[in-house]
Amino acid sequence: MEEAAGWLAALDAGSVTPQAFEQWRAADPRHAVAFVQVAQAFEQVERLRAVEDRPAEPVPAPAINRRRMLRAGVLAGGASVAGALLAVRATARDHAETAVGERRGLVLDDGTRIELNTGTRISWRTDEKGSRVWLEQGEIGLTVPAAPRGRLELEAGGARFSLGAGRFNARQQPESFDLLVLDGVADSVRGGRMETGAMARVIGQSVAVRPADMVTLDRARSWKDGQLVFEGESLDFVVAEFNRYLDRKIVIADPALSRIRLGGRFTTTDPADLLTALHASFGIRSQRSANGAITLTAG
Amino acid sequence: MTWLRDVDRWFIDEILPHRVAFRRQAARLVPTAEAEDLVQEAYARAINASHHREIVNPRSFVLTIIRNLAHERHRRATVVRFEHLADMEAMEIADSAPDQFAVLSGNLELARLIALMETLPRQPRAVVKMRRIEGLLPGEIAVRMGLSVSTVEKHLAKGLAILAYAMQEAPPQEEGAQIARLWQRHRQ
Repeated sequence: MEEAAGWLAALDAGSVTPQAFEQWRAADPRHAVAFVQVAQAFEQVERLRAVEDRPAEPVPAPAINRRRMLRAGVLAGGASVAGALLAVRATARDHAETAVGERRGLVLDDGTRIELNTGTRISWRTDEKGSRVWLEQGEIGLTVPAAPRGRLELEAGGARFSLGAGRFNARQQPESFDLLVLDGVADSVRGGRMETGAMARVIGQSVAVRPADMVTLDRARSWKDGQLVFEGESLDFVVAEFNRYLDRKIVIADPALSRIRLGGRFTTTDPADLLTALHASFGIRSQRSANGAITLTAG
Repeated sequence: MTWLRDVDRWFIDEILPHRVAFRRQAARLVPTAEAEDLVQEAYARAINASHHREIVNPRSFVLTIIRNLAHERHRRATVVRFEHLADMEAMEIADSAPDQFAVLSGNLELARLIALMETLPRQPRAVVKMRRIEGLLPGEIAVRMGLSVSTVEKHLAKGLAILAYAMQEAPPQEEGAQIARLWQRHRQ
């Protein structure tokens, strides 16, 4: 802009040749753009002749369409309705499960609250010594009350944890089992003590405990509100997370798209926001194929 | 001005009045810090358009360039945050709404200019006023201010650069507050 203004002032004062100016302008379209913007300012100032001697009137501020701004800022809709809360009487060993896309909560006899995410199956037993919960597949959130009757034992992926009062998230992955301490303490039989913000990953016989990153913690809290959180993961990962909730899966038809990385917050019940955002930002097209799957192709 | 080609005239009359809409579109697609750069890149494509006089809707033309450039940038970017994106519905509104924003910015321009003039350093402001409002020639201004013509030229360039930059720069959503603030300063 300074350079363009320099040329305009020089032309105005007659201190450069039009040929030199034309050469500069033709060298780069950005030069031409900067020059018209400066030229416009030059022209506009002249309009002040009309108002120079009059006291100025304040101009009303333009109305901002706040609703539209909010909508632009927040793509994900409201949380979907949480599953029904069920009180279940403990017998020898009880089971509960959710279908794909379903979410529900239950409360054990000792007051422990368990929320089951999509495609999850658990069993449990409660007696005088406390409760024992098995995560067979899927993902659960546990809220353990300050326990008069002892601690809660959680078993999954061949590992066993002892949970104190607090909130936890347990997820069975294809290759591993993850336990996250959102709040409180837990003891791993092989990995030692875990405190708030720690995550244990169990792969086979090994248990690795380390601090969880922010997005992992956010994700563990958000699914209960029906939201998925991403922070720079690849489209492959994003689609896999969505597919956990979908009967009709999303398929990336164009391998080049897998490298795209993205962040944001979406509702789990409806992939429409994701598909819209993918179209708006990358021109990616989505199509429903004959078998119901949604295929993504470069636009 | 004799230095303006037909395409420049077209650009000033048909493109620049929609700068607020362009900026809003860009701000939806990329982080705020990159929005103005995206608009300027789109301008550079637009000003090179062949047959510019045949473009039926210059506003849509540039909005489309902005969107395509944003798609290109997103594909290259390491991470894209969807907080910066709107749904398609909002996009369509930006494309097809009657041009109330251009009208609005046209009306604001005068008030904004007065305010912006006040923000210029003393000498550039004096030179711009004499050249454009009083209509003096650079040589006459030099005599009146006791400066060389080349110094007058530098002050004019500086003043115009600040004005032109400020005219593009003010982010649309802050425009109201900013204008109000500048006005207060102007009236004191």
